[in-house]
Amino acid sequence: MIDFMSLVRIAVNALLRNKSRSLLTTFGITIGVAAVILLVSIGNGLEATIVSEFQGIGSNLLYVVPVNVFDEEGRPSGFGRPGFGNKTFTERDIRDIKRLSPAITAAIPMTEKRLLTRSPHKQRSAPTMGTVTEYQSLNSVTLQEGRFFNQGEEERSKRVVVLGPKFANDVFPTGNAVGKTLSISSVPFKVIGITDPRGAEGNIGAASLDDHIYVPFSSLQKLVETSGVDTISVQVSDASLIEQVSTDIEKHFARRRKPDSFSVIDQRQILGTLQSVLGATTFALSGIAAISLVVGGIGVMNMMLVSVTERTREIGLRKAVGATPRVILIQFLMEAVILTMIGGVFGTVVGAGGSLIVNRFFPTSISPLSIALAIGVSTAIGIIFGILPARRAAKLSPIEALRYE
Amino acid sequence: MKKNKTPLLHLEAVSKTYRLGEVKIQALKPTTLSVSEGDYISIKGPSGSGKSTLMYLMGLLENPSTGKVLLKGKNVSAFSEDKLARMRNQRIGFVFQQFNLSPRTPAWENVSLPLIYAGISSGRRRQKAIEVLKKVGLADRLDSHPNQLSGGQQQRVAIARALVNQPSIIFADEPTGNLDVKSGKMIMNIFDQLNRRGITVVLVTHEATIARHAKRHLTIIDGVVKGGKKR
Repeated sequence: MIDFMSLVRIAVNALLRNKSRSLLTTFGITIGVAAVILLVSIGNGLEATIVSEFQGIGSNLLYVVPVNVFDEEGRPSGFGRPGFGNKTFTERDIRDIKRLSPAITAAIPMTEKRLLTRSPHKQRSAPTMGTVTEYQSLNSVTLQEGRFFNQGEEERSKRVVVLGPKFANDVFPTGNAVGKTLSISSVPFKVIGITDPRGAEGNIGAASLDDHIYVPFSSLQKLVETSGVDTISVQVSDASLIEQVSTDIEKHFARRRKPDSFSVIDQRQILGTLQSVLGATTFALSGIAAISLVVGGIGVMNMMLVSVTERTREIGLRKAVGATPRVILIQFLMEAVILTMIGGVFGTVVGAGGSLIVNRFFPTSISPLSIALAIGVSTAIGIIFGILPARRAAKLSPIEALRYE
Repeated sequence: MKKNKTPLLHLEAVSKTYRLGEVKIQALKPTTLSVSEGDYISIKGPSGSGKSTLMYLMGLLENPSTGKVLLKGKNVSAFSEDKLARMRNQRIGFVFQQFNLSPRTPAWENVSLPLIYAGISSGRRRQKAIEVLKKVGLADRLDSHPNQLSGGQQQRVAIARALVNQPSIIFADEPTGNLDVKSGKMIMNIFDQLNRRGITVVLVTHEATIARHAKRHLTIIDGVVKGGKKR
């Protein structure tokens, strides 16, 4: 048989004969592949960030919220903002939950309000979480400086505040925040601690936990004159009991509240939903990018069709001296595949480079799979869009090809 | 002559009809003719007479509409396109009026083209190409590209390409049509030499001076071959 390398050389020589045309055609594929790689890396980066953020929150936790966030099939359908109107829970609800099952080791209130804060340096609004001492152990919060508020402070509604590290840096840029005074809704609070970072940055929609501030629940109640609890966070002694406890809580509230006025969510559900949403987003984004790959493929086909027409006499001669239709087909197909493969490699380099640049502002993550896929897909595009011109070349009758002027 | 021997090439009542849309054109009327090994044949005729069609049929570039073509007694009219390609590769050489060389490719590579399709390794290809280029007097132009060669030299490269796979028959379609008189003479000398060495040569031409080199003369007018019968 004909040695493979000879065919590769013939193909490469043919492509080099029209350098600028080949290069421009390759660019089409390069852009498509680069777009796919970049967008997939952004999607993956987002997902990785969110997963790590969730892992930072703590485990064995259930959240009870006073709205229905599930659709009819029981899947999370969205994240309704808890705490609207008079639907909130009360402190009695928390006491009731604690009594429901021995597997419940803690149930704590979490109410979040956006309040105006002011330091000598800066004035800004901040997500303010009102909660209790146990919040620290439930969510494995560690502090880089100072301490979390204790039970006594919570019971006596002391005006103390713990800052997220990002907030601390923003509002007390000179450092040494602990011991200083932060005014919240014009009421002075004493800063007693700063938490460690609690997860990567950049979660979508909500502010990062690192940008939160934490005050005793009772102090927040006084501050905003409400007794409502937005979210009850429930700790279960063992992960295997989460489902059982979740059912118990649902039964309890089913007797007490209107249907559709509460939901019990466990973290894995939230994570699962977020991952599926992000997965779909990444898929859609790469689908859009793939359109540019198809456009690039059409460019390849166009160039190859022109090339076949231009080289009709050459094809005729090759056939006259003994090239079979199959060999002609392979030769032209190889030209198309070489073009798209080079485009695939360039595109991978450009896409990966772009991803590294974007990573300075926004989390990205390049998976080896997406690189393998990009090169595989670009090769496939060479075959798909190369086959028509190659078949046209293979089918040319040698005489007509030789007569062609 | 070699009457009892199977002819190299035999056309049995071969005709060719082309369709141009609704119109059918019979380019070659049913023709029977034989080519023996070592023949030197000219096919003469005005343009459009069907001489190229006859050459294409004899050169296995095309299958006839009716009749059959026998190569060394084997009926090749029934052959598939792949088998015909292999036959052309191993038995037949072509020389065209326009040389049909690949530009920006060294002479020796142009010559070795049929060897690629014969599946010969690249080292051997170069060696064989150099051998035939020497035979046509171009030993010093192995690496020259066609645009660095004169018309006559280009046609000699084309002849070397036709010879490289040691064919039993060479077809030359107006081989001097693009050349000046002097180069033309040189090319015809090469064909004369090849024939003396036993290679069968078929010249297609409309020039009487070129046709004169052959030993046997066919004339074709309006698809009818004269002087072809020889049994």
